[in-house]
Amino acid sequence: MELLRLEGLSKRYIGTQALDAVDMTIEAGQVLCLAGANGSGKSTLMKCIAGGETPDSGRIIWQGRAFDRLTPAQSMALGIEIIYQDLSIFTDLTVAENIAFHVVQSQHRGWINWSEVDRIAAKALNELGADLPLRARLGDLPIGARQTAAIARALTQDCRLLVMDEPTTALPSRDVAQLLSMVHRLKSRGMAIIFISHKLDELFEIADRFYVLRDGRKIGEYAPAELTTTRLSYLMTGIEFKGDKAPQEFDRAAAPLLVVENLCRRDQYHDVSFSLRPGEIVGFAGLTGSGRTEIALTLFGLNPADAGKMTLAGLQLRPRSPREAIGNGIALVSEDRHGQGLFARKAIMTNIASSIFERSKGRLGLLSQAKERDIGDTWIRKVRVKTPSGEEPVQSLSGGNQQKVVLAKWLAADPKILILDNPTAGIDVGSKMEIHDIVRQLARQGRGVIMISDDLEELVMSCNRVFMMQAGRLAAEFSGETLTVEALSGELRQAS
Amino acid sequence: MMPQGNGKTAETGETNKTGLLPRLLGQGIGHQSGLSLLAFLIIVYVIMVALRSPDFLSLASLFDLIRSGAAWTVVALGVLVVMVSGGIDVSFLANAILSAYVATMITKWTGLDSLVFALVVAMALGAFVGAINGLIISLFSLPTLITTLAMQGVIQGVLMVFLDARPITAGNMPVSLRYFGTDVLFEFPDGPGYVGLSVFVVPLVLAVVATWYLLNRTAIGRATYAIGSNRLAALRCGVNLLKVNLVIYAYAGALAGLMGVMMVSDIRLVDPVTLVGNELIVLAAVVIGGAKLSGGAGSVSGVLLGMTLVTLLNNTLVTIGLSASWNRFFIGCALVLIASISHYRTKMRNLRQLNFENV
Repeated sequence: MELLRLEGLSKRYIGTQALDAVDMTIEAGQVLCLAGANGSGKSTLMKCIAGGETPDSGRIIWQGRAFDRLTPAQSMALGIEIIYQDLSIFTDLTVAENIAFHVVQSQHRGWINWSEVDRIAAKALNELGADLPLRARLGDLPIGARQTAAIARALTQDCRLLVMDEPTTALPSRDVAQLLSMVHRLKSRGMAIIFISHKLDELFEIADRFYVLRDGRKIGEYAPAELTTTRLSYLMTGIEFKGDKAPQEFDRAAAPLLVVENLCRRDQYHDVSFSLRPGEIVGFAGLTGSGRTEIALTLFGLNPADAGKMTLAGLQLRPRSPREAIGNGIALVSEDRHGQGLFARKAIMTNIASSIFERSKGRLGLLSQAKERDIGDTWIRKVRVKTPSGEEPVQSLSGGNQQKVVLAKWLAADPKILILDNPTAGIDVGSKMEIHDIVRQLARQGRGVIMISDDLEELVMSCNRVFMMQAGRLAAEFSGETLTVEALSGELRQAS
Repeated sequence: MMPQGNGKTAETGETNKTGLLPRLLGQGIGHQSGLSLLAFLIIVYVIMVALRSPDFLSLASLFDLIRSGAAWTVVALGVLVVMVSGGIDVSFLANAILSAYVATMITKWTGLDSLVFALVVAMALGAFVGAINGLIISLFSLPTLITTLAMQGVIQGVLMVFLDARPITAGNMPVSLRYFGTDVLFEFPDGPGYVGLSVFVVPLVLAVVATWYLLNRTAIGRATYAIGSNRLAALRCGVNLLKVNLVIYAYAGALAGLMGVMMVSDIRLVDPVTLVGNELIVLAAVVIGGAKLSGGAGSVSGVLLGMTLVTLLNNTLVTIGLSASWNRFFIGCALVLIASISHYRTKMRNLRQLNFENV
């Protein structure tokens, strides 16, 4: 049964055609995976469906009723629910209240019956087959639970079409499977789902149909059987990617840059030892909570170790703050771009130069705009940020380009060791390859790189060695011939 | 999805091994235990005072505390509602004195010497001024501090320039207001004289119940928490920001009007230049009671405890041999203490999720 049809939807912003005569149909009980690079028009398309964005031309047809545009209230009333990437939840309210929020706010009587709130929440969670403590403050629960609450909230509104915008990007890998099973459950009950994600392999797990969008145009619709991840990447970007291993050569005889010996931190990791040579890229795989990020944070001075020894270029390393770590030449790029201190509204060049205020000083010790622009322009070129000028605000960039600015910001400080924690999470496949290229270049210049990732293919393609972490220990090491996606995923399955 | 597994290991792991301080302050405690700490501070202080002067533990002291704290608590409840929404109102005392002044003048001119009439006029005017705050804030998306600061100035200007306000002394005040300030609900003999419970307890209780109901039992109240917690999400969920702002700022204004009448009746003087300047003490009391400046948190019980502490300090510092000037010093200390604890709790919570935002 056809639920929603878009006919010739177009939207033009100044300078770009965000949507160009896009047609789309969605049927009840179907999972449609919307694939496209950053800036392909996915968000604009979503906004048109969610209401709030007025298409320049085209029609939105919901079960036979045609609309030129939808308001957010109309869209909700039709049974369209959007789960935004930031989840749009209220961390200060309880689980039950978050879930029942729409119901409470749309009731006209104005007063609240709390036992009814609990009942509504319990019912929605039950439909999802999930269990959450209703009276807990949502902000006290982990990200997976928050996402469940956001989905449950959508269910309270007689939802017919659920749009999920990158629901798994911020999700620890063990929660992803549960999310996908929820999607299956909803689908089997006749709900239509539009699923947006950059993690191509999980798309194949749930997709009934793929819909590929590039530069605002529909490229085509495909059954999963017609596609492979490589083919899908090509359709999304128009660029052929070789998924080959391309490990960086480095001098195996060189003295190690970083030596970690018997590092321990209670409840997080135990007896971790490894070394990193100049030019080497060492990967860490494992589940969230296995200790990978925890070790990275220790190196970056945020999570001091209880015991063990770290040596950087022959000198004892014991950073107690990120400031000290940066001073020692260690940089950390985490997946959370917003928590990285990118000043979203400031110019790109200001952001890049912000890690090295010292060097952008002019006479009298005041910041010099000319020097800032110099540093900014150099790095924008080096990491290939797509922007008309360094003076554009960071928020005008797509996710992939923002992540490049984060990289540039840390690289401008010329670190000896670069730690990357899920550096390409939520980034489209084109920007991803570019980032991998940049990382290899950096290693070639004699830096040591530690790469933590949920994306096994990314690790296999970039790393010289990969450690599998399990319950806080280095459970296995893979390199050369043994380093394959199959080997890693086999080990990971055992771990979980 | 995963809270059972993950949440539990993290928590049991820490409660067993961490030190006393984290256990007291950091573990999975929400708002309630912050308040129990505040209640504990108050009890310790009361015991200290009682040791110095055993007479203190009496019904007379309690009644005195209620009488002197009532008006301030009423206005603090309005401040709380605004703060829960993530806003901040600094116009409430100017609003209070304007409302009280106009109500007194109208009562005198019309000759309708009735307390109810004066209260209705004051609260209506207060609500009107508050609604203007709410309107400006919503329509122009202005920062609430700036808007209400401007409103404070405008109100004082109106009082001084347009109304040419002069102090009204007790002799010229409507009789009903003078009685309001001294009436008691009931009294009983105590030593040579009588002690009685001021009628101020009636508006106090009404304001407490109304605010509690507004915040916890109405859709607008919950929308207020939602806006304070995540404004963008609230908008996406279809919360009508204009409506909520109008209601909460008008509500805060109405309570300011009520407080104004209570104040002038209490001190038996309508002076257009009193009150203003004490805003920060009220804000401090609300924050001590667990409200967050960023919004989303705060409770009526918290305000009651915060105001109790502030009023206690005000009333009793002399009893323990310190001059009243120490008042602000101690309020400042309490504020720093409570704010630090709240920060520490957020930090511990974030650390458990490997989030280093406020380290």
